[in-house]
Amino acid sequence: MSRRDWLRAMRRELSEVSGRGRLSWLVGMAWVAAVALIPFAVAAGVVVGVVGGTFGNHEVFLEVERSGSDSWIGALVLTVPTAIVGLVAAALVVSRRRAGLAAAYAFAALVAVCAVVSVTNSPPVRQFMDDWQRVTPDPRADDHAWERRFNSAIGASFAAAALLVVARRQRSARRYP
Amino acid sequence: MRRSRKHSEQTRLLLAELATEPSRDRYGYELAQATGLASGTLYPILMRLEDRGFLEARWELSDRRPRHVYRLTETGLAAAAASVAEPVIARPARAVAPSGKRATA
Repeated sequence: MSRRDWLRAMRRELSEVSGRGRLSWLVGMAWVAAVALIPFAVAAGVVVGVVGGTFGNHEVFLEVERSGSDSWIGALVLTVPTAIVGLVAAALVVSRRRAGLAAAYAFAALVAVCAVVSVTNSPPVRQFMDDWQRVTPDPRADDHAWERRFNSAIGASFAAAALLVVARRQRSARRYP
Repeated sequence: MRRSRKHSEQTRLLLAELATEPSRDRYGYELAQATGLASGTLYPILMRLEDRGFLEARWELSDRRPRHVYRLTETGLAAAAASVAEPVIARPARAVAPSGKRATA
């Protein structure tokens, strides 16, 4: 039975409720609807993060690639699997599949690795960002490189944590109603 | 080691209520009145119980307006019986009167 069916069921009962109870019932309906939307909102956040990250950083990759350096390959190898696993995990969590929790854990683990590498400016990110700062016409490349590394790590960590919480709650609800 | 978890107080209350007349279909509002649970608490529990296979939920089409009715499954009945045996959480018991006002036991 879908969430929509449950909300329809609540709406049917509303005609039986009168007085102050009606307002309370409506608040309950709003709450159930809001809770039902949380997995979608979190999954949408992951998708927006992945798509936004791709569009936001594609110029960086292109500039490094045009310079003749191949350091962009290492950065791509690090980030693409994380993005793909994130999209798959988001889809599994939204569709309430049992594999959603495992996928969310995998996403969180990959994000943790990427975040540590990015924040500590370790290889392959270090070589990639150094190359970009060398070739970009951006006068504040140093600051922007740091912002890209730090903001990406923080955003991805929040998204992965939120997805993991939603997946764990789904699993928990199945086990312990 | 897997952590053991009990049903919530509200879930136990609902299971107990549903188990009083297991062969009768129950309505949401009726359950809310009987248990004193707000709809925002009651329905998520009903959803989880149905998801877990403890509850059979279906549309009753015989009436003038279709309504959702609920009944415990065999698994749900067993869970209700088991939940009665669970130790109650050690804190002041708070019951909710059918009028919706909370009463401290």
